[in-house]
Amino acid sequence: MEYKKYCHDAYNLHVIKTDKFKGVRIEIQFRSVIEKDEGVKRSMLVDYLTDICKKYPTHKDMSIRSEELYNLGVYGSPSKTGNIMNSFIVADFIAPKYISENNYLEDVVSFLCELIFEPKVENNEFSEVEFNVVKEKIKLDAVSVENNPVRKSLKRAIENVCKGTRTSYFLYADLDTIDKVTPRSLYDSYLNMLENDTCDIFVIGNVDDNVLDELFKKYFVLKSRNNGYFDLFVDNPFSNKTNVIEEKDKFVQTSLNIIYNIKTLTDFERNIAFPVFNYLLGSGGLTCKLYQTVREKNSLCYSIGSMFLRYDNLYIIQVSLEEKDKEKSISLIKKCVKEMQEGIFSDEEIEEAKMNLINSIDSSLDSNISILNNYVYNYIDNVPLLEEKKELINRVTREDIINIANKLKINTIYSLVGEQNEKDRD
Amino acid sequence: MKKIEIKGVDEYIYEGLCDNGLRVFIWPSDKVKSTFVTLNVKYGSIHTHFKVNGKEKIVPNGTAHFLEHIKFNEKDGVAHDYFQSLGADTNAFTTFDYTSYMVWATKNIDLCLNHLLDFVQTPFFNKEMIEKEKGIIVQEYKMGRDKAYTVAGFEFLNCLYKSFPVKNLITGNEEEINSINIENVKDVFDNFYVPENMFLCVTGNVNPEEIMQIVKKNQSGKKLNKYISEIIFPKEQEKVSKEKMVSVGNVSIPLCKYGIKISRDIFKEYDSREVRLYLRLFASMLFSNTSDFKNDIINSNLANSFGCSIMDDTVFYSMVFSFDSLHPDEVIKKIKNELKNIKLDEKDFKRKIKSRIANYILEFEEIENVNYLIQDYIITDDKIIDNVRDLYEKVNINGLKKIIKRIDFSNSTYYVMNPKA
Repeated sequence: MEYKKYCHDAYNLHVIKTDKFKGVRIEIQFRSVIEKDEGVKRSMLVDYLTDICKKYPTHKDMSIRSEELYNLGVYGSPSKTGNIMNSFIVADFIAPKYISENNYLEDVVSFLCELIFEPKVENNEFSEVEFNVVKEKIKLDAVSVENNPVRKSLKRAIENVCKGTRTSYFLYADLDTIDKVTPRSLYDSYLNMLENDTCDIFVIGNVDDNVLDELFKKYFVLKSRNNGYFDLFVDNPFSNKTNVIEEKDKFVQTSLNIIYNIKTLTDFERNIAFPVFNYLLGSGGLTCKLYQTVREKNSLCYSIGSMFLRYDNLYIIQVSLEEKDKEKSISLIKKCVKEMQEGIFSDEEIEEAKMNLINSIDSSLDSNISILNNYVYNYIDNVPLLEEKKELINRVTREDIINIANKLKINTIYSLVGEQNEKDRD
Repeated sequence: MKKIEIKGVDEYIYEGLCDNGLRVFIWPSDKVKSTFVTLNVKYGSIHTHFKVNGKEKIVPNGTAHFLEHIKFNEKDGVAHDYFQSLGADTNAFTTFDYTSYMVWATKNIDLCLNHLLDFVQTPFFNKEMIEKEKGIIVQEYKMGRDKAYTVAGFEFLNCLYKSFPVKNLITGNEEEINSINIENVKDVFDNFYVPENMFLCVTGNVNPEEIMQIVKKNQSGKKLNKYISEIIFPKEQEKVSKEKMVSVGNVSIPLCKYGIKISRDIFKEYDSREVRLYLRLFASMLFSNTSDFKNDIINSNLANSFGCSIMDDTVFYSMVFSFDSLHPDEVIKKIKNELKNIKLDEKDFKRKIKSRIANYILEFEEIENVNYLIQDYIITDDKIIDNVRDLYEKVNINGLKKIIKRIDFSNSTYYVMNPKA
């Protein structure tokens, strides 16, 4: 595997050249600080840009072109990293060595660039028919959150804990916010992205990096800009007391979220030691403390897990259960966290957690997406590369884990209580 | 051991057989670091009625899934703990047709392989573990009740099928889960968790000869039952079970399904893979993103989402349309109309074949993908399919037209899940 970076005035091209994969992935990444309601627009924008363009003005034309290019998969991928909005255009396609047509790679790159620089525009705004299709799709995403107890409870919990901070700027907002977006305002957002966003292109696969650089120079006609670095971290305020919030909804199960603030972490703690702590407590699958305690020993749930929002300094434990078991589960979860704070876990468990995390890094080296993501985070946040990460994990000590556990402070216990009596349904 | 060349993609799958009848399939790759091992039991949620030594037995719905859960218990602890101590990861799933036990590892492959075979093939059941697991599985079932697409999927299967057990939940419902007892579990284990009814798939960074040696040694020391069971399926009627069903669920826009039930008997002289390919090409040509039909439906706001897929449910094929729509009747009218005036374009057909060939090449990349591909071959065809590429070369537009002519598109059912009031 060989990494090369080509710096240009408007963008950087990062190529990870490897013959390990039969497919190639290109991610064209635009980044900016997220502003309120802009997340929705950017989600719609990357969808619109990958749905149609001037040369392929209907979804049908686009899909036919994708099939002609040997089932080129192209889609918009909006996401958030702390303070940052990521508006990505992604393409997955078969490596050119399997294709007899000589200009295949050029066809793919020129097609991708057409999507970005030649969108379907009428009178300085996006085409209304296709705009409406995109709008209906995002509305469907927004209502699907409302109909999923786990996602809805997480959204409501974050809305309560992170009032006014960028953590609460969701990509799938409420329907009113979506309705305010117009073909004109979305087009303005597009122009703003082209004009001001930081841009990087990441490629992984069996491709000639020099050829690729020449192709992007030819087709990727972005105006020059200052490609600066961002402060990724959201400063979410701590709470002096534990807030307890309970809301009711139409669901069968109750979704419980316990949200912790995390006191300042060092880079080593955030990137290396926290995953070991989390593995032992909640993310280590079937052997972690929470799973063993709440599910295996007490049969209170099917699903329990934890999430580390590293750029929001939050840690969330989430479980779906019966309402009657809620209080018992809360006290068991608190007991598990207390045990972590008091170092009640064996050296053997620490070593197993480290070994399993290292093995999962080894496995992730079999995935082009994981390798590419690691290079992205190494570039934007100096996260160690996978091989270095493996070495660092071995240095994590019992004290590191206890220190991290003691940096957690409960902010809010949020529960979305399922009101539906199951017997009424069957 | 047999080395099977997968034509047109430059890949090989090895097939071995143990003396006790356990089949072993291996896809070696030096490009990957990890290995994925699955031990698959050809016993799934639909196999609730069977005959052993002339005696008929019926177990509750959900028994296959229940057994999958408790199988991880061992005399000295649980299998997960052992795999974790080796730095490996493990899980399992149950489908309609089979149960799969999985291990991912980057080292200690021999230990992982031996333990996977040992814990799945060794019976260890008691009443306490069965009672304890009921609470967990009931919660899993209830999680499913909150998922509109899962609920709609099974309610729709009840519209298609009158008797065939794919209409039943894989977990069973609350009452069924609570009715499962230790005898049910032992019955299933004794009769179906036997080498001739299992197959092992190993995909990843391995040497096929070494793997086969480990497996043979492991199996030679075991005394395991012979496969003498016979699965009994109820006779399924040709006609759909219900022409229409209206339900309510966790949706904001009505979630609709329209299905056409297609008997396999009308394609008797065909290979089932060929039929499936033709049906999938047909669905894609008429109703996918490349069709005028879908573009019109979406652009005119008749539906917010729209898809058409082909299901192969062992005894029948079905063509299933799924869409979120405030105007389901209009969408269905248009589907019917499209199926009355079928237009098939050769250029379209050839382009779709070309893109499928690219997909097929890409399938042999990830260890999970290849493993699932092998599972699909064995469950569906009982053999490795080495000539998929040939099939792509063989099929043509006239063949498609002949297949389509045989289908009775009026044998249809219509399901709507409306939002709760």
